[in-house]
This record gives sequence, C-alpha cells and structure tokens, in this order.
Amino acid sequence: MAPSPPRGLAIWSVALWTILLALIATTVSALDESQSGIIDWHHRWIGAPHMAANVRNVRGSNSVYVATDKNVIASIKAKSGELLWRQVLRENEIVHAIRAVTGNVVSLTGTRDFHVRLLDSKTGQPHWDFSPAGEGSSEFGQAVTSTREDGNLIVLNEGANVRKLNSKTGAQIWHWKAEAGSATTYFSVLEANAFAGAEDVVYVLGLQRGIAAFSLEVVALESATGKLVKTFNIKSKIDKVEDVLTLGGGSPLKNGYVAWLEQDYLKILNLGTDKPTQSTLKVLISDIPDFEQLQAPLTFVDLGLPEGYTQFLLAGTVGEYNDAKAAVLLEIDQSTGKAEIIYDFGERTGFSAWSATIIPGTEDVAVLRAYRNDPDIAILEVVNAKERKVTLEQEIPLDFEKFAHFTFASLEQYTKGQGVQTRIYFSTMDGSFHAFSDAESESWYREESLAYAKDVEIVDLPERKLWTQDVDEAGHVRSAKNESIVAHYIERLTSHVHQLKDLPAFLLSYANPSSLFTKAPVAVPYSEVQIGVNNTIQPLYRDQFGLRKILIFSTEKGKLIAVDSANKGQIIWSRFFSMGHDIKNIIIIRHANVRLPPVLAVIAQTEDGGKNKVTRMYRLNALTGKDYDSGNFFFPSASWIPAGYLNAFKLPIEDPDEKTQVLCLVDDRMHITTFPTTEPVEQAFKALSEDLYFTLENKIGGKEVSGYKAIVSAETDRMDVEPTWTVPFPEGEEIVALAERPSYEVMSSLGRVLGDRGVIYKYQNPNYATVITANKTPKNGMAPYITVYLIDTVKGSILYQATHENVGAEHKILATQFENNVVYTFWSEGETSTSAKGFQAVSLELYESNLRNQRIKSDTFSSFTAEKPHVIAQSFPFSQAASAIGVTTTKAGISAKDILFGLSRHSIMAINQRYLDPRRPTSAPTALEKEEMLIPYSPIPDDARLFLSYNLEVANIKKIVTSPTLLESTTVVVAFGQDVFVTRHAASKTFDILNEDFSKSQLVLTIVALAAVLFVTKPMVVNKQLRELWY
Amino acid sequence: MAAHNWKFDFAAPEPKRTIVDPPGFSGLKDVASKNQGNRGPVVDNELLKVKKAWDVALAPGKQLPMQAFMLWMSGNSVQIFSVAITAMLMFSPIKALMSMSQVFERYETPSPVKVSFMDSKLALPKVTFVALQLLTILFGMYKLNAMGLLPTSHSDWLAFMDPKTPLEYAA
Repeated sequence: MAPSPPRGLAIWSVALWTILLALIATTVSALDESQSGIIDWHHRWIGAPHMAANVRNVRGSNSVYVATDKNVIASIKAKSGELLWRQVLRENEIVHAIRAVTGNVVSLTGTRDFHVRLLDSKTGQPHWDFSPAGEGSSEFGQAVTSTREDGNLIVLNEGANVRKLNSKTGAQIWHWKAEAGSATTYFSVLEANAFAGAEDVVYVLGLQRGIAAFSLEVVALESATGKLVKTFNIKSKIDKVEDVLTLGGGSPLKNGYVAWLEQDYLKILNLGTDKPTQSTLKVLISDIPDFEQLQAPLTFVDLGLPEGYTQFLLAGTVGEYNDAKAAVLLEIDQSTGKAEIIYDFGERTGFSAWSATIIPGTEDVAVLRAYRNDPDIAILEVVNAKERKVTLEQEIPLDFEKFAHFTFASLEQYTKGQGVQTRIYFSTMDGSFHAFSDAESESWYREESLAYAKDVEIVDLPERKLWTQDVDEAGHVRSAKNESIVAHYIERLTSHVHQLKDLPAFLLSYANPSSLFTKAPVAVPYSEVQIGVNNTIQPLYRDQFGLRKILIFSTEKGKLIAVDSANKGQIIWSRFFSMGHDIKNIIIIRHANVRLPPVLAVIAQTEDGGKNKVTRMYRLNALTGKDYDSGNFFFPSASWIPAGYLNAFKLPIEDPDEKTQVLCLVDDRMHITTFPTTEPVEQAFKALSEDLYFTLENKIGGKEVSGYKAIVSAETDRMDVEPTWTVPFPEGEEIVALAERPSYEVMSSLGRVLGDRGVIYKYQNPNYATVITANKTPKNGMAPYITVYLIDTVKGSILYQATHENVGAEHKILATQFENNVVYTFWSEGETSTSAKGFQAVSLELYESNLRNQRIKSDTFSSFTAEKPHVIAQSFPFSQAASAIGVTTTKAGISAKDILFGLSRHSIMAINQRYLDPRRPTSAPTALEKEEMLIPYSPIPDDARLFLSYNLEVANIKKIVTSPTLLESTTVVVAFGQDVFVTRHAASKTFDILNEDFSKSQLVLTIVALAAVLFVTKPMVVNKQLRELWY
Repeated sequence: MAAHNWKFDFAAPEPKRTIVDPPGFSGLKDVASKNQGNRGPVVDNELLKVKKAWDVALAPGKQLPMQAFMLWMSGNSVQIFSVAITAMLMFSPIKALMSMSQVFERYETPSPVKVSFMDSKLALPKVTFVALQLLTILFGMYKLNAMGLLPTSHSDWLAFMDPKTPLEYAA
C-alpha cells in the first residue's frame, strides 16, 4: 500500500527553502576581507640586549629600554615582555650608549657618522637628532653625561669632540675640540667637584698614547662656556681602556674619581688634583681567601651605576681549571680617597653577569650577581652594599641546554606598597632575553636568538595515519611492547573506537560549517613572548594540505630553534650547542617516514683544548630536538672528525639500515667521510664516486672557483679529494654573489611554447652555478664593474659570461637561480654622470638552442657532451633596494614562479616571472608575441599589492627560503635575518582549492534539501502512477 | 491443450471457387509477362534514378561554399559557436557516409544477377558522394588546424616528453 501524502508537506517544503535562503544570505555577509595575520605571522626581534636604561626607578618603570648588538634600540614592556617600540638602525650604526634623561631616552649611535638622538619614551620617535657634519665615531670615544643644574647633555664623540647640547632641543651650546694631531683619545666625560680657582667644571678623561702604554690626561672645561680651564697630565701606565673606571661626580658638589689598574696597583685619582692614591692589589685582596688561586690579573667590572656612586667591582679568574670567578665589591672612601673592600662575593664556577642599581628611597646600592652552577638552575643574588648582606637569593629554572650562561644582566628595584620589588633582566649566551620578577606572573622570556638566524631547514610533518602505525595513542612505540597478535588487534580496535569520537567533528569540518556557526577567523594580536611558552601539542602531525611545517633555524650563536610554521610560530624545541660551536650546516637526512621520525644532521665546527679544529656531527630527531640514537653502532647520535669543516652535502644514496640519506663530509685535510660508514654505503659511494663532482668553500670574497672529485683507492680505506678544475677570475675580481639551483626543484615543462606553437627547449643541465664577481677598484680609473659567470660545476667550463660596467659596488648584489633561469640585481651608476642611476634586475634564460623546435636527441644529459646553452638576457629597471632574493617552489613546478625580494625598506615583494621575462618585446608586440601573452617591456612594477608583508616592518631580511606544500598552487615563504616572517604565497592564485567564499554548507544543505524533497515526493509520484494505472 | 476443432490446410489449394470476385478485381494475371511488352518507360526510370542519384551525390558539394562562409564567419578562436560548427562539419559527413547505402537504396535497381560495383550505374555518383563528403571532412580538419586543435606542433607533445637524466651528480 502506498503511503498517503503528508498534509503539511507544502508548509514543510516552504519552511525548508526559507531556511536555505536565509543561510545563503548569511554566508554572503560573512565574507572574509583580509587574511592578514591568519595565514602569516611576524616575529619582531631586536637581538640580545647588552645595554639597558630605566627611565624611572622609584615606582618602577612600565618598560625597559635596551640596546642590542643588532643596532636596535627598543622599549620592552616590563611586566609582559612585549615589544612596545623599536628603532632599527642602519647596519653599521652601532649603539654606543643609551641613557635615560628627563623621562626620555638619549642614544649615541654611529660608526662613520655620529648621531645623538632624544627618543620619546612612549613612541620611540626622536624629539631631536644631532649629527655633527664630518664627524664620526671611534671605538670607545663616545660618552654622555648630564649636568645637574640645567639637565643638559655633555656629549663626547670620536674621542675628541666635546659638546654641550640642550636636552630639550638638541641645540649645541658649546663645542670644545681637542687639538688636531693630539695623541690623546678621550673616552669619558664627568661633571664633578671643581678644584681651587674654578667653578662648575666638566672633566674630560683621555688616554694619551705613550711609547709602551697610555697615560691618563684629564681636561677640565668650564661647564657654562666650554672653555678649557686646566689640563692635568697624570703620570701613569695604562694598558687598555678597560682598566680605567670613571666613578662618582654627577654634580658640581660631588667628588669625581678615576680608578685604574697599573701593574700591581690600584690607583685612584680625585678629579681636580694630580696626585693619585695608590694601593697594592695584593695587600688589598690578601684577606680574601678566594683570590689565593688567582690565575689571571684582576679586572674591573663596570656595574653601570649612575654618576655619584663610587662602588665598583674587582674580579679575577680563579680555580684549578680557570673556570671560576671571584669578585669583591669596593667603594672609595671620600676622606682618604682610597678604595676599601665592602663585600666579598666569593667564588662561583662559570660566568657571572653583574649589575647594580640604587635601592629606591635610599642612597644605597644593590648589586646583582647572576650565575649558574647547575645545568637546570641559575642563581640570582642581590646584595645590599651598605648593609653588606644578601637581600635576594633566587633560584630560577634556566635550562643550560637551551640558554647556557649569562652574558648581560640589568637590575631594577622599585617600591611597591611597603616593600622593595626586584626585577632582573638578563641575556644569555644563545641570545635570548629574559626577565625575572618578584611577581611570578611578570617573569618572561623572549627568544631573541631568532634574530641571529642564519639558515633554515624546513621539515615536513609526518602524516597522522602513518604515525599511528608505529606509536599508539599514549605515544608508546609499539615494537617496544612486544605484544601478541590478539593484543595488537584489540588495541587497534579500541584505538579505532576511540577515534570514533572525532567523527562528528570530522564530518562537521568537512562540511565547513565555520561559515555557518562561527565568523571567519580573525587575527588575534599576540606578542613574541607567547611563542616561547611551549604549549604545542606533541606529537605533531601534518595537516591536510601539508601547509604546516617545522622550521628549524640555526643561528650565528650556535642555537637551533624549531618553530611551528602555523600557530603564530610557536617554538617547538630549541637547543643551544654550548660555547664554540659554529654551526656550519643543518641538513635533513631523513624525511618523516612510515615508521621513523625525521632526522636532522647538524654539522658544527669547534676547537679542542689545543686550539685544533674539530668537526662535529649530531643527529637529532627533528620533531623533538633530542639526540636521535637508534642503538646501531654505525649510527651514533654524535660523532666527530679531528679536522676543520670544508663542505657537507647529501648524496643520492640511501642507507639500507636507517633509511637516511648518506652525507658526505669533506674536511680541511681533504679527506672525505661518508655518514654512515657501513659496508653497503661504502660500496654505493664507490660506485657513485665516478660521477660525483663537487665544489668546496665557495664563498663571498673568493678569487676563484674550483671543482673536486673523490678518489677512492682500492688499497686504502681513506677517501681523498682531488681538484679537477679551477676557474680563476681576472686580477681584482672577487666573488660577490653565488647562486645554485635548489636540489629539490622539479621542472614540469621542458620547453617554452611560442606564439606559433613552436617550442624552444630549456637547457636541462642541473649542475651549473651562477657566480658574480666584482672589481671594486679597477685600474686605469675605470668605474667598478661586475661580471656574471655561469659555470658548469662538473667540468668547470664557463657557459655564459656578461659584464656590467659602472656598477655601484657598495650596493648589495644578489642572485638566484631556478630551472633554466637566473635573476640578479645590482646598482647601475649609468654610463655618464648625468645618465640615469638605479637598481637593475637582470633575467637570463638558458635554452638548448636558439632555433625553435630544436632538441638535442638524447635521453641523458652529460656536461661533457653538452653544447653551450643559448642565453637570452634582458635587464629591467627595478625601483627597490633588495637585501635578499628567493623564488617560490611548488610540488610539481607547474604553478608560475614569483621572484621574492627582501627589501631594505623592511618588506617583502613578489614579482611574477612574467615581468622578468627576457623575451618581453621592446617594440610594439607582434601578433605572435601577443599570442604568447608577453607583456611589452617596462620597468619592474612597483605596486602595493605585490608586497607579501603588506604594512608590516620586517626588519633586516637576509634570506628568503621557500618550501612546497601538498597544494601545487601554494608555497610556504620564510623570510628571516632579524625578524622572522612566514606566510603562504600562491603565485598563480589558489587554483586548486575552493574559494574562501565558496559555501560548502550551502552546497551540502542544498543536496540534503533535495534528498529530503525526493524522499517526500517519491511516494507521492508512485501513488499517482498507481492510481493512473487503475483508471 | 485444447483440441483442434478446425483447421486450414494451406498446402492444398481450395478445391472449388464458390465465392464471386469483388467488383474491380481483375483476377490473378501474370504481371511480369504483361510488363515485358512495355520496355520504353523502364529505360526512362533507370535514367531518372541515375540522375536523381547524381543530385544526391552532388548535394554535399553544393553545401561547401555555404559551409566555407560559415567557417570564415565563426573565426579561428576556440568558442562554443566555432566548435559547434566544426563539430557539425566533422560529424555530418561521417553520418552521411555511414548511411550512404540507405540514401542510394531507392535509386538502386534490383538485379537478379550479381553486378560488380564498378559496373553498376550508381558507382560514379557514390564515389563522387564519398569524395565530396571527405572534402567536407578535410574542410573541418583545416578548420581544426586553424583553430590549433590538431596536435601537429612540438608544443602539443611537450607534456609527454621525458626529462633528460643527468649522468653526473654535482653538489
């Protein structure tokens, strides 16, 4: 019997359609305007601080002002560690001093020039900038002090010029210059108590060059006019500027002192007199038992106290192995003018960092000593110098494996309620910056070591399904448990049942209800501090499209930091290779495999006790950063070679035991070591060595390029390196840029289709390199020129050579190479002084032949039989100054390629290859050229839409590295150098994924609705047909 | 199974004719022998058939100028209109060739003896018909080529080429 039609059907269907229409309406209104901050992230780094200034010290400042060796002056929020502002100075603009003055920050910077700036403490914007024309800076000849009466600044630069500047306007009040040709270099200025016959003087302290040593010279200038009052020449023998300390002063009423170490004596001069007091160091420290084992002469430690205080530290290396430091705190007795020991800090193993501050509400000094003698814990010790007792002894967790020793510390104390609160800022050897606070929640750390990133290796994450075959839900390795088949089966079954709970979520995610129930993802503001908090879920899995990767950075300081390319760049793990490890190379030798985690090889060069070079290799699990030790004798997690590093590269051999790619390491004895050294690997290497060619130590500044080959002799086990070819560059030329084709590149199309459907075939040599040399000072008065060489790295022949004359050699020259293309940029001065100057981007394309439809018939390519390529070249004016160059890479190489430029204006620009096509017609395009869709010749466009970094300031990009994803359209772009910026880029637009706007829910609901309608109407139709049969 | 109550025996003719023929029925006569004496119209019919067959055979040729004009009008770009016209140009001759025997069937003179194709009177029209249809196909091919849809150039085979294997490995 057929069901009778439901009576409310019409109402139901109307309701259903109404809901459907409403849904469509809502999805339209939820359009995502911008993806900024969702698909990309940007870490703003400043580098490791080595100077700090606090604007207020009574109630505690909101922020700490720091200067770093990356030439950055920054303000960091004291409570949270967030970056409030920063001033990124030019590459050679060293920060000499920062100082808090009248609530703002004064900075002394420069190398070839000199700048005094007053930076606003809230915004970092300069109120004024004073830069004397024609003056620079010298190594230690910069100092600043402020006068007590009017709060103006006394500034010293270049070791010779003393100025008084109005602190409000930056106007010069007076200028005193040392006599030209003077043998004295001044290093400090101090306002202090005047001598008889003078009022309000400023002392300028200098070191006069003598035959064997320096002698101290003190110049007294009138504070109001800058007139020279008197010069004191103090008879003394000083070895170096570090042996002199300026103490006290800071007011016309206070005594100023100079303390210096002269052989076995500590001498102290009261400024305004010419007779120093003298104490014998041995006598002075005779009461201190720790100094009995003194290994090296005592040195001063500058505590960074403000003017007016006369406390200072004397420290010395002690201990049997020169591995401990002992230190005493001294203070100058105002009546005798001699220094007395007021506190003995005792002996501590390892490095100590020191800082001092004034205890708020008093005139007393608190001194901080930060040190560690435990791998997990560091100790912060604060001593009240007046009461001569420890006021704070705090153990803080500080992993030696990640941070090692202290390099800099800054102590801040402020009153809160009744008590005194302490904040300690410190840098560690790896480059990171930390803060300790009495208030637990206000301790933080910034992984500033990322500012020193020099290389990155991108690791693909393992697939979840594969991973679970080896590791169960609890993270246990299956094979280790040794279970029966039944137990295995039960476990698998239960794990599948467990996974069922994810089913609804999976179904929902498949239907993408995000556009239904939630709004489009919104970029949440975050700070670099949060990424240090390790809250990444382990183990890590790949996402659906392989967009999530691990970026392993190696830094100049010897640290490895693994960063999640998603999740705003959370730090997954970090590891500091302790002192002296110069990380030369990091190579992924095994990608995530069915059963095995990815393995990273780290090759570092160190020195042993006898100053001999040692090359060390570590194998790490790239997911955890831990040593990867499989227990196999031939695969140790750490190994070493007693020789220096020359080169390390992957061979196209996989070892059968561990499925790692075999590494070839060439050391400076010209020996080859393969890793691992098992029998099958050796056999494979011997078979390969016939066809293996490599270059060594190609670096900027080189004068030639050489190729090498491995010699494997049957008699010995040793494998040596033999030079096969050398390309010496002409006199005066040296390498300024190098580029090689990325090894992982896939060439999808072998030719280029022309307008008439003919083909010119691409040059398919994978083994050629681009070398650009510059002659910066040619003879015969020529302007500097550069020469571009394309060199076959197998046989050393020059495939192509071009010279550009009138090049600005001081500008950065960059080159990149991909497929059959080479792109390089340089600054052109133009032929004459009046011709146009500017950056030029040159594009080269290499083809097998200049004739269309001509292909050399062969299935193989050998450099020894190949002919020279046909090269098409064109240069384009480029309006940007680039500091880094990269190119997008995709999985199959089908998508168009964008050339990525890191610009010196702190942004990243993507230029499509079509704009850098040397075949662009320079006259009106013909029909064939139009058919080929060539864009008529024009300069490289300068469009705001080409900037990947939109309005972000990505400071000092040194490298741009890209990695393909499982989506052919999309590339992961990593730009680093100081800041780290990671984004996804699709050069041909995202043609392989549905548009964000595409409403999957709408589609699914429509299908569901149709199915429902079908379900309802089908019985009706059947019913009707049946009735029709009856009548 | 029901029993046979009645039956006709078709093998034996009716023994006796009892029913009168209907009016206008002239009775069973030998038609063939009657026609034999009337030869003239038969020859005319044959000629007419051949003439008709020639008309049919030349019809595709008469369409060619019109089709050429349409091809010229539709342009060489790959668009739905030009593709539709070209497809029509390609498929209609094939269809016509397939149904050729039916087209010429009614002009066929049944012959008791087997006549070889070349001796038959329709041979020439048929060959002409096929040639003209092939010409139309060629027209379509020319159009396809002009539209760039024929894999005749190097670029069409580029995707199927294998990259060269490098013999040396450089690092």
